[in-house]
Amino acid sequence: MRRREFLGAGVVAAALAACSSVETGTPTAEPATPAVLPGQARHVLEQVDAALARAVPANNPRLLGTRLTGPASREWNARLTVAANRKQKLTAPSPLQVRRLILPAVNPWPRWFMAAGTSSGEPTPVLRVFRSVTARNPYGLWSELSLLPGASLPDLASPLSGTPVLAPGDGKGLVAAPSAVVASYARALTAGSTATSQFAPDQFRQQVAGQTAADRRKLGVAGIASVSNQHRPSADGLVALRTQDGGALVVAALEQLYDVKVRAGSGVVSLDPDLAALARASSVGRSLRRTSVETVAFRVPPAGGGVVTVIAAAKADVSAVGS
Amino acid sequence: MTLLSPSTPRSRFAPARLAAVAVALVGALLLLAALARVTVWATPSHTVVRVAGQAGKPVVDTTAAALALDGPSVRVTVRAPDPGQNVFVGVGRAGDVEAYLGNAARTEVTGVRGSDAVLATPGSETSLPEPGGVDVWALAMTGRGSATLVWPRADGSWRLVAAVDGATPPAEVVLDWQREHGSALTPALFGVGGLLLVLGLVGIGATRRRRSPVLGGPAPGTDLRHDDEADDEDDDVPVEQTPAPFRSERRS
Repeated sequence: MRRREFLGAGVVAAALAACSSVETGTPTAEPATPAVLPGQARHVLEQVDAALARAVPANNPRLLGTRLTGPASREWNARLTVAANRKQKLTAPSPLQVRRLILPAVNPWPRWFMAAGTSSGEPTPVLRVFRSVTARNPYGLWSELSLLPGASLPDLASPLSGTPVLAPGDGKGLVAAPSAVVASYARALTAGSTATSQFAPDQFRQQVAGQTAADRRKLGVAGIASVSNQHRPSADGLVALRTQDGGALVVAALEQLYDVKVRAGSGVVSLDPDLAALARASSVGRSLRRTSVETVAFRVPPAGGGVVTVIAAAKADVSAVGS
Repeated sequence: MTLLSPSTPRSRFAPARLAAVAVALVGALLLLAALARVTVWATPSHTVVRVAGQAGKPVVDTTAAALALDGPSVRVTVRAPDPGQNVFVGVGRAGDVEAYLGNAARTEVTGVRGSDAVLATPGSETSLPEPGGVDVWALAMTGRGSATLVWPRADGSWRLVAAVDGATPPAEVVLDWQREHGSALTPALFGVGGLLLVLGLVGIGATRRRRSPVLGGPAPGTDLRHDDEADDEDDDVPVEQTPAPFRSERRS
């Protein structure tokens, strides 16, 4: 009898335990998808366009919010400040007609993605680069680069499941590490030479070197002022993605520091209207420091694959301090 | 007297009949079990749990395992404390959501027990950036006063977050999992049970019929002798009488 009671109690206990068990599911294996899904990327593009559409007509940089970041944020802050000082109205860039999304594989933050396409009002195709610093920061437009004449974006590795991201210092299999490429290019820009063994000649470097040379001729020959020029990798960072041929697509930010020292007693140097609005001075009698952000996209070939090619670039003044 | 094999039908057919009965019985039990699975033991077609937001915990979220409770989809409705407030509900990769939540205090659904949510309350930060302002969501909805999202089953690990503004907890979150109807086991039970029942019944019938004479016995007229004991045993078993041509009176 006692055994039967024990048995009954056991059955009841087992039944109760079965009824009160916690139900959960089993997540399946993670499929190979990019860190940013195409739908998410389009949402970001819309949000960025909406932020520009709010801020630009109002000449109000604060309305850009967090949807612009890095070099693009600095550039648009400066442009809207200049427009406000000059009492001008800018028009917001038209939405990008996306031809191609470049979506990296899942990787730690900061995360990036790119969209290439055309924008009405832009004579050449553009490459928009987006960055999210942490999971708690939204993706913002980091830069919009114009493709250089004759250039095209390389085919990227694993475009559907997410292109592998390379660490800035990872030069394995490349002619040089991405960070080394950027540092070398900054030195080449500073030197003003259009011929270096590591880089193919490009229109962006020609224009930068040409402008500096022209200013030096104009101011230096007359003995009014001296011009110095320095380009350096920016704290805004870089992104490097593996290309299908084993090379890399590298997009990096640089900074140009352009100094004009006016010789005492030689008069003043007039500034062009936009620069004057940024510096809040129409001329300088002692010195001027002009800071610009430059973003450059490189095609870095695999080791032994030849020279590095610049395929897209952008440049904008972000500050000017004169006296 | 019948013209039967010297070995008795009982000794030859009893085990086969027993086996047939056993097969039929097992089949019937399996059918009953299948019937029970679609009636009294049936999984409910929906599992609905209601989770109230807790003060100081700005979000209600799920673990990946809780969101992946079996079923084709889960419908989530979130309500704001004030009908004028915007609410948010979104689903993102588990790793991305984890990075977004960080150490935020939250009411976390880790599973269900009956119609109750099993909750945990990790984290200590009492606010976090507004979820609608970050880009970790594969699917998200916002609405004034309430918002509803239907998340279909998808490969991978996903987590859900319901919130208001990253500081105010939602008033209530209703999770409604549409469950699987039955499982692959139920049709299998019906099939196998039915098959065994039919086989068992056929077997029982066959063992009855096989008790008819001649089969396996000596050719007619070759051995007409048999002992009385065997004859007595025959009397114990209800033997179907053979047609006239095979019947014969025992000769003494």
